[in-house]
Amino acid sequence: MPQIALPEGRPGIGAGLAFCPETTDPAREPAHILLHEPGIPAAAGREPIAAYVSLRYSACVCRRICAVRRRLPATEAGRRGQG
Amino acid sequence: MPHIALPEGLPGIRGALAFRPETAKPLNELVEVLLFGPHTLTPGERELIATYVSYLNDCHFCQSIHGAIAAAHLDGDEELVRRVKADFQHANVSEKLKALLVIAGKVQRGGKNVTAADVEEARSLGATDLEIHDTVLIAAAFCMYNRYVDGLGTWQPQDEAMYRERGKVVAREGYIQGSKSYLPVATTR
Repeated sequence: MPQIALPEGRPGIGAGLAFCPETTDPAREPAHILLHEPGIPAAAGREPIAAYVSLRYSACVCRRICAVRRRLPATEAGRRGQG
Repeated sequence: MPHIALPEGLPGIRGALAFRPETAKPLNELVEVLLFGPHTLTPGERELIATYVSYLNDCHFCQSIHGAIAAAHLDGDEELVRRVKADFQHANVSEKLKALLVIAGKVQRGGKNVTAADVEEARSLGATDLEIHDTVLIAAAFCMYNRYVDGLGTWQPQDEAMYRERGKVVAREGYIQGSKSYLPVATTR
């Protein structure tokens, strides 16, 4: 159960981002640039880095969403991913 | 010496931000909202949270510059900044801020350390949900900024006067305006 009144029905960071619109874009944009935009290695090759770090923090939602994105084409993952 | 070829002459995070302007923009925007924009916590209180987390992460550049910015917001009270880092429970800050610093310290050790009792204590002392949210996000973001600065081996001068002067500039102008002196024009607004 969340420690504060976060919007219901959104898992993980999606709820935290929806709570405070002022911080939503700047908090989300670095991950979009680092993990989704064209680069080397390709997006699917960068998600395992995020998944590995999330695993070391035992952050279940972050690890699983990164693992899903790794298996999807980049555009599909970008559309589905909320982190 | 930095681990990669960062622009020379820019200490701490400034060198890393100038290296990658695309990520500099949202990183500066985030810290602007969290520490400088309108808020029910004062800029001095928010800078103290960032300074404390940076101190716990042993990031010399971040605890020095944010300590200097905090002091600039607090009428130059550098002793208060030192006290908050060393023993905030006996520092001259509000009981609400002490409860928020407890939460920030727990986030620094790992987000799962924050308990419902910690949050209830902050709330009983007048903290709003937004103040609790932003305390957690400041602490989490500064764990990122601290590791960004240290993980690249950035240049971190020992000159206290440099931090003091830069702290006054950032306290006056904020992070986005303050970044215009070292970021390419196209990436600032």
